[in-house]
This record gives sequence, structure tokens and C-alpha cells, in this order.
Amino acid sequence: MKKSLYWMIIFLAFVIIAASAALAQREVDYDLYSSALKYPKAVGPKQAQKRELQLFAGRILEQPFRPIGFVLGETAEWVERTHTENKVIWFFDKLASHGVYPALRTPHEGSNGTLGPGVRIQLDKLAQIEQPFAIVNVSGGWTPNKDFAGTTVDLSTDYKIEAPTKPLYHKGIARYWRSSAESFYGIGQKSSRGEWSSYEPEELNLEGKFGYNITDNSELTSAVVYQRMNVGNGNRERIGKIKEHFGTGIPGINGGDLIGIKSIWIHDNRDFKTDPKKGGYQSFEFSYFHDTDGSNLQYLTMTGSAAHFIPIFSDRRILALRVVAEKNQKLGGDQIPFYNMARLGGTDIRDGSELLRSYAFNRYFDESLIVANAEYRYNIYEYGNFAGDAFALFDIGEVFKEVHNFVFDELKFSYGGGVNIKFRRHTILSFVLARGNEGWATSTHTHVSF
Amino acid sequence: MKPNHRRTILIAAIIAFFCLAGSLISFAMTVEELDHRIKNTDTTFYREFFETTFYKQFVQFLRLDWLTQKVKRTPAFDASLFDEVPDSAFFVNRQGKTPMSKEELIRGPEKGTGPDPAGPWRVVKGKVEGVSAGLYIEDSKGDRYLLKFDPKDYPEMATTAEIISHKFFYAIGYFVPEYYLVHFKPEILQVDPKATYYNDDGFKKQLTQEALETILERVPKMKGGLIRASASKMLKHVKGYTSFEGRRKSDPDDLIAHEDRRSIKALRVFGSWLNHYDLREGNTLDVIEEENGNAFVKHYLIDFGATLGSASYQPKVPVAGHEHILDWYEVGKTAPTFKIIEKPWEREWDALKRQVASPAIGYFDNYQFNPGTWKTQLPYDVFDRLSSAGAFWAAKIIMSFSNEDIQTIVDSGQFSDPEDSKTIASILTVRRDTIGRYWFSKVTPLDRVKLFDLGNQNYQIQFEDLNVKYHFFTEKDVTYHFKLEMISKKGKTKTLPQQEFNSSSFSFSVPSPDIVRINVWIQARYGQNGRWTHSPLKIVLAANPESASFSVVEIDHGV
Repeated sequence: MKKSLYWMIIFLAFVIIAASAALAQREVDYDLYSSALKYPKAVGPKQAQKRELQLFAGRILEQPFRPIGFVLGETAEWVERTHTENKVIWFFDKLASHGVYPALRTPHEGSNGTLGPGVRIQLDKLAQIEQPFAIVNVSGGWTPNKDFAGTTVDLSTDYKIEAPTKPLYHKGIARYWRSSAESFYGIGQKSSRGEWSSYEPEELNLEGKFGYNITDNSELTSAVVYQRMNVGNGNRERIGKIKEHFGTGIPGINGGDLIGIKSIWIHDNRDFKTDPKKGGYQSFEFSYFHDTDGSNLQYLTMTGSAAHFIPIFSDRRILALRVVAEKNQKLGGDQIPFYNMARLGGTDIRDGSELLRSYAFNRYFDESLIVANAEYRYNIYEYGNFAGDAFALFDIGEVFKEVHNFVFDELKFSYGGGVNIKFRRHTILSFVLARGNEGWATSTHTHVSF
Repeated sequence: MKPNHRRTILIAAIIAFFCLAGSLISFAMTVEELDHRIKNTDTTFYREFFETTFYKQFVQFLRLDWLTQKVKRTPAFDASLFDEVPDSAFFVNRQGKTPMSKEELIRGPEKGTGPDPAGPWRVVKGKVEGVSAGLYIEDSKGDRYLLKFDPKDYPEMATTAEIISHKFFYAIGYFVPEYYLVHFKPEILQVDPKATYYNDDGFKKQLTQEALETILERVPKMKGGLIRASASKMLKHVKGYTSFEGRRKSDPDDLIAHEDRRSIKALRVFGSWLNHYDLREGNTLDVIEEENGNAFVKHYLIDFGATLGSASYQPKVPVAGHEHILDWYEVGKTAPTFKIIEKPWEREWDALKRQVASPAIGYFDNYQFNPGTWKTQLPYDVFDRLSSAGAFWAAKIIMSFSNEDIQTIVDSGQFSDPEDSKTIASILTVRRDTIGRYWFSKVTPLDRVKLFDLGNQNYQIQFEDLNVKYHFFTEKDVTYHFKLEMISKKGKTKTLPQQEFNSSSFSFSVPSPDIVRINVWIQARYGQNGRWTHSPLKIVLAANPESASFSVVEIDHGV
């Protein structure tokens, strides 16, 4: 009994102490998830309107650009809602399935950003003749050139017949090309910009070629070539005309008929032609030309070129190197027509003048040439299928008459950089900015430089 | 805050009651009336891409509010006096307020059982928007669903991401549609004669049985020829998307500019956790709903197929989360460096030999995860406006998910391989802690503040230190100090000397009955050589004239 009383007293004492402690330490409750706002004065219909007015005032400088944003947004939405991008792809796929390949042409120089229409039609596809051995193409294009107050026209046709079992093929090409004005500054490394004149080339080129694919990466071709060239004065305002400016001192200034043979060996093991990250290509060309109209033109041509693409510890850093050497050798006291000489200057090797990117297209003509191009391409952007490379470029080159005329001091160089924008490793846009002794040059292309 | 705090709180509550944008308790309006009043809005990915990436990225430099925002952040106008976000038509406190049960976490927003697997399902339209294949169906009960599938080479990836992430977003507090994981035989699909779809060439065509079979050929098949899909129940009375800038003026409840809403700004933190890089206006929906006879606009998040390691139609690209789709800043930063050093995500991707480990997971890991620099696919200014206090609020909600909670939700995604489920849960667990550590370090991470009246004008403040609660630091590592500022009826201010303490509570006395308001600042220091937290926690106490006692009237973690 005593013991139970004892425990009862202890229990009551504990209850009293606990209760008094609880009473003494009373929690002052509040609703943590109360709906009362911290800034109630900032919330309300009038406040919302006031804030919108403040925002408008704060964005007054933006207002002139609003229409741009509006048009951009509306256009983008329209494209997506109408599936225009898919329809465009469908359209071009449909054309391609019928052997029609639209293309864009750009003038060789001037009129930066000017584009002209072009097309290639694969006739066997168009006629729905399904066979793997023959391809027949016709193509043509036209470019306006505001700066040169003229146009460029090209028309060509070609066919290719492949042997059914052997890696052999035959190709025939007929090409007509005319430009209302191409630049000419004289012959030699010391030609001056002050001698700037223009000529009007009109060329018919016929070529019969046999090719042998030695391996998957290399081929050897031999061809017979006929070239008919008419040269007139260029149609460009405020620029000298070649025949008036240089007289008859330029070989081939009256054009000529030439027949020649040529052999070309090409090896190409680039991993991706439109965005090479490793591998390279090498080629060597040997050709002989002779006039057929008594214009005293006869010469040999030897051209070697090599390019290599070296990843530097990563395929996001590529060192792209290229070197080209060309030697044209007069034979029998005859001449080499200027239009078939080595040419240096410009930003696109496809135009026939070698890369020296701060210099004008066709800036230097001579019998021989050596040029080296280097680009350090590095990835600056990548998101799924889209990527962008920046590159630093350096070009160095010289034209000269004979090998012993080559002088290091005469080497011309360009330096600069640019950006290549790529989609699925196809360069869709390339911007180049280069500087050299003759100033700055900019250009835009739809392919990598080399 | 003026001395008569009760009145102020009352006024604030009344204003909040009537004016809080998107308040659940709204003006008495019928759905039809509101439907008539609310203007429809629409957007597409292309529009958002061009507007955010090209237009706004450049004109923002002409916006004074953008420039001032860079110097001083605008506070969140939807934050409550106690630094929480009150329930609204944008957000409802769920897991952060009271831990949800396992059943609640698994159920998520689902109210039913999804489309009847017995079929038939009438296909009424092919899915047009987005990048993944989809079909709109109507089940035998007449309910409409959007079926979305996995990419052929990545079975389970997109559907699992959708199921898991929508449940997380729901538990966090957002409104999301009902998503069901379904496995069905293609035979139960019956094409409606009026059904149309856009083919790959962009032309609208009649959806024939043949076309349906072509669509389903691109979808991975499970055992027994079953097709796995996520089925999202279609919402009714949809009025377009929720803008991340400005407000919907035709909505009488929408009174706070959305860029000033913490619940929208903090999506960046929640998105970083679940790798939801496709957080954009187009993935929201404004829907008119009715509760208790009142119609209001409720703001939904939709489309979670591009979360975790999935980009819906393929695994996430390695750069996802690190850069925007076209990140001018990153491009500008990289260009002058000549790429001497590769980016961290590039090194990681190379280390993985540029391959995803599991097709069902896609590309998702934590190796280079940085909560502070994580980015959505499109650049939205609203996410850059998030303050440290807002991010802390989001981080503490994320931290409220236990390891078991995470595993529970992840398991509901029904991976075929349990290892995939464990991997995702493990990534989310580590990511949760990384987010917690990061954002807790930006404020004084004290929560659940309690005030005790000890009698005789003595008070004690207790709190939970979230760094200690979640074991980022031990109690021994922490030192606190508090500073009191006492304000009398006459407006005189007296600041008491700063005092250090080591436990999660401290006491103080109120020296005079004239004191009507007390501002308390608390800072913490973690580790021996740690610094005091940059932004102190501010607690405001106000005297209650009736009970002659103080109560907590405001909590602030800083802007």
C-alpha cells in the first residue's frame, strides 16, 4: 500500500511538473501556409495595370523592334502549324526522285551574298529509266552580279557509263560558260591592283574521260579535252578593259582553240567530305595542251595537291592543312594562255583561283604557283544535329614564272578566321573574314573552305 | 509592417482572398461566362525558339526592367508572409507541407484507371505537335486520351519519363493532367472514318488503317506484341498556354505578372532535379475549371516525355541542361578560347564513349550537374529572375522527398529491368542532395520556425536547420548568432548585441511592455572555418494587444 502510494505521488508530481512546463512553454502558433501575401500592396487590378505601364515605359527602347519580333514569331508559328518545313523537304525530295536537283549559284567575286538559280537534271531518272550503269545529266545556272553590271551563265551536259563488273567508267562532258566580267590584274606576282581590268570569257569545253577506281578511296582518270575560248573586254564600269589596258601583250588574249590530254590520280580518305575531321586527299594531274587554230599555244601542266585533317586530341579540334603546287611549262616556243595559267586569290577553290582569302579573286596569274592553307577548326557549338565551328586561317602563296623565280620575300599571305555552321555534318553556311597586305575581305559560302 | 499587425495581416488576407492571381476561391462565375471572357492563346515550339533565342536575347538589353533585375532582384509577389507560396491556381502545397503517403505518391493526379484496356479505342486524330509519335483516342467510356509512344530504339524511355516526372511535379505541387501507363494490343485501335493526321511530308491526310499501321511500325513492341504508351487524359475548356511573361489580362484572377511568381520562377529548380529541359510556355495549359460553383483558370504543366534522360524522340543530347539550344553566351565564351579546354559535359560524354548506358534511361547522370548553372532548352528570363530565397523554397520541397518516396515514384514508371529503376532513383537521390546543398548554401537554411512564450516576457525561438536535418552538416559543425531589433510603440528602435549559440533554439527577454515589434536576424556558420551565411533569416515578431504576447508575423529568407 505504502509502495503504491509512493508511486502515485511520484506520478502526480511528474504530471504537475510536465503540465506546468508545458504551460510555461506555450507555443505561439501561426499558420505557416497562410494565404496572406508578403507584398499585398503590389497585388491588385490597379497595381497590375500600373506595373504594366511601368514595364511599357521601361521597354520603350524595345518598341521599334517589336514588329520584328512579331513577324519572326508569326512566321515561325505559321511554318510549324502548316508543316512548311516538311513540305519543302518533300518538294525537294520529290524533285530529286525525278532527277531534278535545284542549286544556287554565286558570282566569283563582288556582290557578296548575291545568289542565282541553277539546276541539274539527271535525264535517266527523269525518264524513269532504272539501271545502275549510266547517268546522264544536263545542268545550267545563272548569276546576276550587280557590282560587275553583268551576269554569269553556265550550261553543261555529261554522261557516265560504268562497267558492270569492273571498276571502270567512261564519262563525257560538254560545258559552256560565259561571264560578262572577270577580273584581271596582269601576269606575275608583282602585278598591281592599279592595273585592275576585266575580261569577258566565253568557253566551250568538251571532255572524254576514262576512269579506273583503284580502291574505294582512289581513282585514276585519263581524258581528252577540247577547249574553245573567246576572250572579250569585260563589261564593268569604271574598270579598265583588258584589251585596251594590256594591248596584245597577254598570251591568249584573243582566245584560242586547244586540244589536250590529261591524267589525274586522286586519293581521298576523308571521313566526311562536307565536314572532314580526319583523313585527307591527294591528287596529281598531268596534262598537255596544243592549239588547233595556229594561235601558238602549247604547254604541259603538272599540278599536285594534298590536304590533311588532323584531330588534336579530340575531333572537336581539327588542324586542316592543304598545299597545292602547279607548274605550267611552255613547249616549242609557244605560249600558255593566261586563262589557263595558275591563278591565286579569292575564297573559293571551286571558282578556279587558289585560296588566298584576303586577296581578290584572280588577283595573281602566272605559269607556276605554290600555295599553302592552314585552318585550325574548333567546335564552339553543338546541339543535336546542329553544330558550329570557329576557325583561324592562314594562307600563304605565290605565283611565279619558273621555279628559280620563286622568292620567299614575294610570298603573299592572309590571316583571319570565320565560322562554319553545320547540320548533320553538312556545312550549310560559312563566313570568312581575312586580312592581308591588300586589306580586309569577307565572304560567305555554303561549304567548307577545303 | 506598422504596429497594428493583426489589421495588416487581415487586410493582406482579404486582398489575397480576392486578388491572388489564380486563387482557387475565385469570383463567382460560371464556366461558360469565364470561357466567354478568357481569350484563347496559342504558341508553338518554333515560335518560342525564334522569340526566345533570337528576338528576346537581343532586345533584353533595351529593357530597363531586365537591366535593373540584374542589379536587384524583384521579390516574388506570390510569396506569403512566411516565405511560402500559398495555394493558388498555379500551385498547391502538397509534399512540402505534409509528406504524402506511398499510395498518394503512386496515384499522383490520377482519379480513375485510365483507358479501358479491353478496348475498343477509337482513334480520332494523329498527334501533330511535338516530336514524338502520338494518337488521340476515345475509349469505350467516352473519355479522350493522348497516347504517346517510345522511340523504336529506346523502349520505355519516354513513357517512363512521362509517368515518373508528372507524379513528381504533382507531388511538388503543380497541376498536371492524369497520365496512365498503358499496354495494349494494336487490334483494339479502331480508326474513326473522320480521323486525320499529318504525314511525314507535312500533308494532312485521312488516317487510314494502313497509315495507322505505318505509325505503329515505328513504335517498339513489348512481349506478346503489346504496345506501351503513356495515355494523358484530355483536359476540357483549354484556353491556351501560361505565358512566362506578363499575365493573362482577360483572367480576372491573374493579377501578378508571371515573371514575378515564385511558383513559375522556381520551375527552374524543379526542372533541374528532373532534368526537364523542355520547360517552356508550350508545355503549359490554362484550363477553366469549376469548384464549389466558381469557375477559375487553373494552370497546368503538361508533357513530361522530355525529362530525366529522355528527349522524347531520342535520348537527351549531352549538352542538354548545360546550354540552351543556341546559347549565345556559351558560344561567345568558347570562340576566343580556341577550345584549348573542352567543356565538362564534352569530357564526360567522351568518357562514356559517346553512348548511353541504358536505352530505357537515355542520357541522364549527375557527373557534371550544377544546380546553379543548369539550363532549360530555351532561354526564359523568368528562370533567371529566381532569387536565392525562391530557390531555397524549391530546394526544401525537393529535399522533402525521402529516398523511399523517390524509389516509390520511380518504380511506378514500370521499368522492365529493375536495375534501370534503381539507377534512376539513385540519380534523383544524389541530384536531390546536390540541389539541397547548393541552394541551402545561398541562404540561412532554417525552416519550421516556432515561437514559444516562456512567460514573464521571455520567449524562445526554435527552428529546424535543414543542413542538419538532411545530414549535410552535424549539429556540432554549426554555430548560430542572432541579433534583435526592438521597436517601441513610439517607433524607437533598440538593437541588442549579437549573441552566438549552438543549438537549434535560443531565448530572449522583452525588456519593456512598450515593445510592439521585434526583428530577429539569424545567421549560421557551418564548419570551423566556414563563413556566416550571406543572407540572414529574418523573423518578425509583433505584439498582440489582446493577449499581451508576441507572435510570428513574417519570415524572410532574403530576396
